[in-house]
Amino acid sequence: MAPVTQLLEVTGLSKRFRGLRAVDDVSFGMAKGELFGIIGPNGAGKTTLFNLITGTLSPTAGEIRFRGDAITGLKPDAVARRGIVRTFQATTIFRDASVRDNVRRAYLLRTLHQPARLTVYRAELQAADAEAGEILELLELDRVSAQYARELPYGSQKLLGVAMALATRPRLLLMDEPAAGLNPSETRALAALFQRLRGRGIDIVLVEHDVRLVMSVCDRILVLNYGRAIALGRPDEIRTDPQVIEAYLGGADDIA
Amino acid sequence: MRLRNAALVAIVAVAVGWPFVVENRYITHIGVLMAISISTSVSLNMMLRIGQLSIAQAAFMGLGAYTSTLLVMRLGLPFLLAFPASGLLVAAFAAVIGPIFLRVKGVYFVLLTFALGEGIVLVFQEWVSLFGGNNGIHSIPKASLFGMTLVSPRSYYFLALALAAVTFLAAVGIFRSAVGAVLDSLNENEPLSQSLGVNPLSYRVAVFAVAGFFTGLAGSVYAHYTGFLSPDAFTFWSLVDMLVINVIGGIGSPLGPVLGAILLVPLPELLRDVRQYQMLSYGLLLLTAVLFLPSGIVGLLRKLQRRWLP
Amino acid sequence: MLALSLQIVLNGLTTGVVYVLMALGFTLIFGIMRVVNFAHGELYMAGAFAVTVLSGGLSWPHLPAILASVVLVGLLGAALQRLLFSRVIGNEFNCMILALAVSICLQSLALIVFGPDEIGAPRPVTGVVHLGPAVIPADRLFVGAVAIVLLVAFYLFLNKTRLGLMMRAVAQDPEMAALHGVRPNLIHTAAFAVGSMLAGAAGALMAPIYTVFPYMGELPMMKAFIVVVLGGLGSLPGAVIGGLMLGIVESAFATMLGSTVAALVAFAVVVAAIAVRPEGLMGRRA
Repeated sequence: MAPVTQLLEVTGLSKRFRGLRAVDDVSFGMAKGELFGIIGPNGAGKTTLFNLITGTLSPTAGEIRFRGDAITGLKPDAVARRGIVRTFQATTIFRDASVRDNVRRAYLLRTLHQPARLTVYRAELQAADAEAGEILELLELDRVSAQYARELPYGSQKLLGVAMALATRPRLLLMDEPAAGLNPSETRALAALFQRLRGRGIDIVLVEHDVRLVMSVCDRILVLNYGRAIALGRPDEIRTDPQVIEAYLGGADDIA
Repeated sequence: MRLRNAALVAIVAVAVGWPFVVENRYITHIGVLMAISISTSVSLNMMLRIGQLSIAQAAFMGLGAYTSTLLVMRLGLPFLLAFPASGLLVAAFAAVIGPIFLRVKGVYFVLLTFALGEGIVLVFQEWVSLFGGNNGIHSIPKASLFGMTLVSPRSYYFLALALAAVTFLAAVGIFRSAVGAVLDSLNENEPLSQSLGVNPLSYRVAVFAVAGFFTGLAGSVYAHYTGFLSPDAFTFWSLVDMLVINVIGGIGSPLGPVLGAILLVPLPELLRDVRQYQMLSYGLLLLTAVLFLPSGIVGLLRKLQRRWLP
Repeated sequence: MLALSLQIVLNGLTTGVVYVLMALGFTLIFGIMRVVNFAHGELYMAGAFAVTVLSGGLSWPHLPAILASVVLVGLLGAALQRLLFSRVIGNEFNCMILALAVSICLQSLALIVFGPDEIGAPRPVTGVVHLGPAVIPADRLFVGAVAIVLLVAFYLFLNKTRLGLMMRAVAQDPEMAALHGVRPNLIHTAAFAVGSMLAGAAGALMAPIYTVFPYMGELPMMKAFIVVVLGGLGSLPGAVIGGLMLGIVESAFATMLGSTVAALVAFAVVVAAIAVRPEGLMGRRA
C-alpha cells in the first residue's frame, strides 16, 4: 500500500484561525503517477489545505514535502517554481489580454521569475510563442487564440486557466474545483483532459465538490471533515467508509 | 508605421536642431528644464505602470542632486564620475529600502513614500553642515565632460536631452519587452501571476531602482546646471509637478510624460504676467484631465488616430 | 518635574484635540469613500479664512462665527463630493489625483482672493489660566473646550442618529450596507460634508492662535496623515487616540529635544508602522 516514490508528503499539517481549526493534523502521501482527490462537505477545510500546499497560507504546524524537499512556508511563487502549480476556483485569467497572450504571459512569468536584466528578451518571447501554440492546441483552444480572454464562455475560461498552469511546465497540478460551474458535457471533457495530462507525465491533485467526478477519475481520495482527515483510500473503500457516509449524510452532496 | 517613423525623425530633428535656430538663452533655459522634467516624469511613469505611486521620487531627485554636488565639491571628483555615482547611489538606496517599502501597495505605498520624501527633505534642511540647510549650496561647479566645461545653457540642453532620450528609450524598452509583459501581468492580477511562479517583489524593487537611477541622474544634471541647490526644490510639490505631467500626458505609456512635460513646463513662463492665476490654471488642468481625459493626451491622440487614420 | 510633566501633557492635549479633529475627518472620508483627501489641509485653511472674515471683517461674535465657518466648509465639502468626487469614486488613484487638483485650486483661489500675506484673526479670549502648577493660555483652553464639545457632538452623531449609524455601517462593510438599502451617494456626500466640517472647525479654532494664509493647511494635513497612519486608515478610535498621543509626544519631544528631532522621529515611526503593520497600530487586520 505504501507508495514507493512519494511525490507529495503532508505530515501533521494544521492551520488555526483564531482558535478555529480549519485544518487539523492532516497527513497523507501521494505517489508519483497518481491522480489524487480531496473531497469533503462545505467548510471541511479543502480550500485551506489547498492554500497551505500552494503557499498562499502558512501552516500553524506540520510539514509539506515535495519530491523529498520541505516546502513548508515557501511563498506561492517559490512553490510554483518547485513544480506545484495551481489553478483557481473562479476564472482567474488576464481578462484584457488575448487567449494566446494569457498563455505566453504564463510562460514568461515562470521563465523570467525574477529580473536578471531589463530589456531585449527576444528569444524568450519566441519561446513563449511556441509554447503557447502547443498548449492551446492540446487544450483545443487554438481556434479562439486571438480572442480576448474575457470574451470566452465560462467553461473555456476555466480551460484557459489550466492552459496557463501548463505553460509553467508543472510537475504537479493542483486544481481547485475545476468542475464547478461546468455543464455535464464540459465535465466529461474535463475528465478526458485529466487522462491526457497524465499521459504527459503531469500528476494531478483534484480538490473538488463534485464527488461523482472525483470517484470516477481519482486513484486515491482523501476525505476531510471539520478540518480532519476522516478517510484515505481508493474510491471503492471511500464509498463504503461509515465515517464518510456519516459526514455526507443529510448534506446536499450524495455519495454515489 | 511609416508615418510613425517619419514623425520620430521629425521630433528628433526638432529636438536637436531648434537651439541652433532660436538662439535665445531664456528659451533654451526652458528647454533644459523640459528635458530634465522628461527624465524625472518618465521615471515616475515606470512606477505608475507597476501601480505604485512613489511620492518620494522628488526627494530621490534631491538625493541625486546633493550626491553629485557633494562628490564634486567635497571630494573633488570629476563630474564624469559624480554623475553616474548619483544615479547609482539613488538606485542602491531604492534597492535597499525597496524590499521593505514595496511590500505594501496602493494607498499605503503612497503614504509611506510621502513620509519618506518628507523625511529626506527634512534631513536636507536640518543637516546644515553637510547639505547647507535651507540656505542651500551655492556656486556648484559647472559640469565638465572630457576636459570640456559645460557653461552655456545650450550645452546643458544637449546633456539633459540625451538623458531624457535614454530614460525614454529605457522605459519603452522595458515595457515593450517580455519584462513588460511580466510587469503588466503583475499589475493586472498579482495573485495569479505569483501562482505561476514570478516573484512580484523582486520586479517591483527592480523597477523602483531603475526609476531611482534615472531620477538621480536628472538631479545631478539639475544641480550642475542651476549651480544652486535648496531643499524646497525636492518637496512634495515638485512631485506634484511630475505627477501632473504624467496625468495630463497619459500614464499608460512613456510617451505620456514626454508630451506632458513639453506642454506643461513652459506653462508657468507663459503665465508670467498673471502669476496668481498660474497655480489655478495648473489645478484646473489637472481637474479636467482626471474627469474628462482619463488616458491623458496620449489617449486622446490614439482615439483621434483611430478615427482619422484607419 | 511634576509641574513640567503636567505642562507637557496640557500643551500636548490642547494641540492633540485639534489633530484629532483633522484626523477624524480625514479618516472618515477615507474609510467611507477610499479617498485619500490631499485637500484636507485646504478645508482647514478655508475654515480659518471663513472665521477671519466673519469675526474680523464682519465683527461677528466668536461662537456664531465659528459655527457659521464650520457650516460653510461643510457645504463646500458636500459640493466637492457631489460635483467632483462622485464621478471618480471607486478608482483610488483618480480620487487621489482629484483631491490633489482640488487642493491646488483651493490654495490658489485663496491666494487670488486674500493674497499671500499672513493675516491674524481676532482672539476670542486673552490672558492665561493657572491649573495647579501649570500655566495655559486662555485662548488655547478655549480651543480645547470647543474642540471637545465638537468631538462629543460628532460621537453622538455617529452613534445616535440614523445617518451616523448608516455611515458607520458603510465604513465597516460597504457591500452589506448596500444590501440593506443604504444609498451610497447620500452617505458619501454626508461623510464628505462631516469630514470637511471637522477640518473646517479645526481651522476656525486655530485661526486666532496662528496666522492665516493660503498655505497654512499643509502642516496640519501632514499631522493628520501621521495620526491616521498610526491609528489605522479608516479607524475612528485610532484617530482619536493617535491624535492625542501625537500631541503629547510632540510636546514632550519639543520641550526636551527640539522640534526637528520630533518631526524626524514622527516620520521614522510612520515608516516603521506602515512597513510592519499597514493596517495601523490600532487598526484591525483585514
